[in-house]
Parts: sequence; C-alpha cells; structure tokens
Amino acid sequence: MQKLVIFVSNNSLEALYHALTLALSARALGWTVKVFVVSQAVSLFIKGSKKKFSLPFFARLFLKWRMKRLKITDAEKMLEEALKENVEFYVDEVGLKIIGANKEDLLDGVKLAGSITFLTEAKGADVVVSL
Amino acid sequence: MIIDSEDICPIVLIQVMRAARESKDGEKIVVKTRWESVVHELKKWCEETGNEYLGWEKDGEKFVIKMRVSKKK
Repeated sequence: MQKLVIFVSNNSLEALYHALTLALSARALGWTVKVFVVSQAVSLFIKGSKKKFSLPFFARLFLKWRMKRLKITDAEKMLEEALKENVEFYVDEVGLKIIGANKEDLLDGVKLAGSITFLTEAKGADVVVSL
Repeated sequence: MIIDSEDICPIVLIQVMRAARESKDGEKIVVKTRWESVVHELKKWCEETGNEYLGWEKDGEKFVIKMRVSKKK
C-alpha cells in the first residue's frame, strides 16, 4: 500500500485545507495517510475550540462568507471525514503545551508524536508533502 | 447507486470510495456534481483503482459521471 505523509507547520486555513484535500484524496486511492501537525497549527486539533487560523478577522469573515455562498465544504467537515477514513493525525507535544493544551484536549483519534516518528514515517513514505 | 453531491472533490471521492466498497462487482455508480474537476479526478481514480470509467455528460448545472465497479483486481 502506498503511503502519504503530510507535515503541517502553518496554521493558515489554506494549509489545513490543502492537507485535508490531499489526505482525503489519498485515502480514496486506498493509500495510508499520516499527517504531522506542529507549532500553532496544533490549535486546529483541539476539541470544542474555535479554530484559530492566522488570518485577520475580516479576511476570515469574508472567506467564510465566500465559502458558504459557493457551498464549499468547510474544514471541520473535511477533518471529520478524514478521521472517519482513518487518516492518522499526530501533533507535536511542544506545540500543544505552547497553546496551553493537554493530550486530553485533542480531538478523538489524534495522537502525540515527535520528530523521530515523523522522520521514520517520512523515510518509508512514497510521497511527503510539507505545508 | 447514485451520489448527488454538493461537496467538493475530495469529499466526493470519499463518497465514491464508500459506494464502491458497498457495491457488488459490475455495479454502476453515478455521480452528480457541479464541480467540473470531479469529472477528471474520477477518471484518474478509476484508472488507479481498477474500476471502469464510463464517461460523463452535462445535465443542466450538473456533471453526471458514470463508473462501473470492478472487484477483480
């Protein structure tokens, strides 16, 4: 089975969206998908919190409005589908502590991992994408 | 099986994958979407997964794509 590893270090909506798009498409092809999330992007995987994207308030509002108008699937739904389809998400513990969260705050199915896990998974992957 | 979806491409791909999983060999899947990229993506998806791409047509605002599931891989 082919394997895709995605490294997300940018907490912009675009980065998460591209990561989820690639993850879901790869799962549709039957590939194994592992997504590593570091730095502030970890905040996107906290249970029940408002997702904090690095966009100014009005830009975020405009983007949300445009996406709703064009009926574009939102990132939350894509994340939910990715978790349902066994995309494996790993977050960096340091990033988690920096935003004041704990392992228990993570969305169900999201695991903690460090750089060795990323390197060994990336080493054995067919495709590695960094966003 | 008919998938009439408003979702964007990767979600449609996941819906097709789930439909293919539940289908029997030779069963047809019809996808209705307003996203043109789905037409091309599903053609590639069929080539990669060993399913048969039967083509597409336009029906009003939507693209209608037909595929046949193959379990002989």
